[in-house]
Amino acid sequence: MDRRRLGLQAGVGLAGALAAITLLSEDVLAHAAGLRDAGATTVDVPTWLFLATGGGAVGASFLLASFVTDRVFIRSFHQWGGTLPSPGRIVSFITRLTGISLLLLTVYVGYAGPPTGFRNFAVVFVWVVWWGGYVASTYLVGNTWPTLNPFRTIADLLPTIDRVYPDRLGAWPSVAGLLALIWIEVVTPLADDPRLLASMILGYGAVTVAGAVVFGSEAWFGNVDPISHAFSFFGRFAPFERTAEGISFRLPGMALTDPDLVSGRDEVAFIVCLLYVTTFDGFVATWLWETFVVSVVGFGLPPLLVYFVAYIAGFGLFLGAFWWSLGLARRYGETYISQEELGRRFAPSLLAIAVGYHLAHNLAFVLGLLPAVAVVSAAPLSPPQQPPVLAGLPGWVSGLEMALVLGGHVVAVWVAHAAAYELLPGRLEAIKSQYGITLVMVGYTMISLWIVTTPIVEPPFISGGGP
Amino acid sequence: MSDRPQPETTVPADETPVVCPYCGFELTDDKQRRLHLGLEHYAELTDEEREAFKETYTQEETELNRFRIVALGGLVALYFGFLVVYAVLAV
Repeated sequence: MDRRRLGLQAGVGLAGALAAITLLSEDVLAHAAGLRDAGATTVDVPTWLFLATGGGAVGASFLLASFVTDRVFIRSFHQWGGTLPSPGRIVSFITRLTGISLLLLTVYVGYAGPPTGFRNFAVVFVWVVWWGGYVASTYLVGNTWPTLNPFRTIADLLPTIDRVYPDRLGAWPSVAGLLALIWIEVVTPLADDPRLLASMILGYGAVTVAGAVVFGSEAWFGNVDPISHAFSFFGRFAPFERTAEGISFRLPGMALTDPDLVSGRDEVAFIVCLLYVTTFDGFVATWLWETFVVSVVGFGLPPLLVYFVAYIAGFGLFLGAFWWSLGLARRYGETYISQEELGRRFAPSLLAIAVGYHLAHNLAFVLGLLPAVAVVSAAPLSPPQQPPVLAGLPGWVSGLEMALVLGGHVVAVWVAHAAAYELLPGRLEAIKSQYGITLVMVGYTMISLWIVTTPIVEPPFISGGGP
Repeated sequence: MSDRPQPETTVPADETPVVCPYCGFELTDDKQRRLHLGLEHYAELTDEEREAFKETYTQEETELNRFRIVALGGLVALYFGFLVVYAVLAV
């Protein structure tokens, strides 16, 4: 690949992005909305300018990071930390008991409670408390899932057959598992139907416990179970981490440059997948997707097939973009370090983006539904007809969401910058190796800001809702 | 800092890498090799190699300064570019 061809590629990509932005922003105003109808407010700038500003901010943070070229200084940020004593067995025991009790309560109320979505404790608990709130705790505080995970507790109580987990599979099953879980979440009304949700939990639980019994807890939850795998990566962003010596603390996100964080291309694919599935979940609720899928289905293709092909193709696109940026890193970084190795070291920076995106996506949603959580949890079997919600969140919440998306990208730019300084001998080359990754991040910022701010529509043809 | 495991490399078929005599790590050119030697194996180097490293490192500083000026220009252009666009469009 010579320089001219490279310039051409980048130019075509940039022109495509600009064309897409202009196309999308035809006198549409940016709606700084939260997730699914949580109080939309309007920003008074054209969408393309709003998106370009987001992209510009990420580009600017790359330029700013390029001023920091002192290896010792960079390392000092990443190595700062200490160790706290480990919590006693009693705390672990109580945590495990809590996990099991909450699981039993959720499944029971899922079947026995009211059939409507947000009046049922199971739905409110799983989507607001667990997916919105608890998942945030795995990256804001620390990953407590290995202890809290009720399926792991159950599996550990059962005898294990200890079949040897085939090494060649690596973490690929968790990539497939994550794709499958989010696929089910997108195409079925899991967020509205408590019976279905409870059955899904039982099904997932049966598979998980059976797998852990066959292959042993370490192998199963470390390689196959997508939820545990995701939380363990989120936990690497968190300031606190459980280690053999106790609980170690670092600055948030600074452990992401640890060289052994990602083991191979399977885990690189998993991290890209983690970022991709949240994007897809948001993307199917935009008018762009609605227009596309309605017109394609108009040609007589089955809707689910269209969803599925787009789902897999999108993942391929994400992987391809990341791989392409690694090719540029190899070229401009003047290095022979393999693309796979570079992927291993740069992929963790994407976790910071995933974290920012998850927080931005769920903040307004969790805040708005907190009163409902309190009321429904107080009387799971006889909740009020209309659980209270916070209707009007203050305007700064949506501003905070944008800041979180951007903040995640800024941390990601820094982490990739620091990783490059660990890998490459030349300081200038380390900066230049970030060209491709920065371009991809700028593009992704604009896509995700567009998804977060574009008005939400019901995804057509699925979950019982038509266009 | 030295003796840490070096990342895996792949060399395109039509290129000959410069190999580090201490750890066998493959590098693209002599400049990268001198920097690699100084950063990874400073304790084991001969005086001559140390001198070469220091020289390359200082030389790199000049290149970095040039890059910083361009980066600063980029930041200023980005900032004022957006300022102007906002002034015109977002009234």
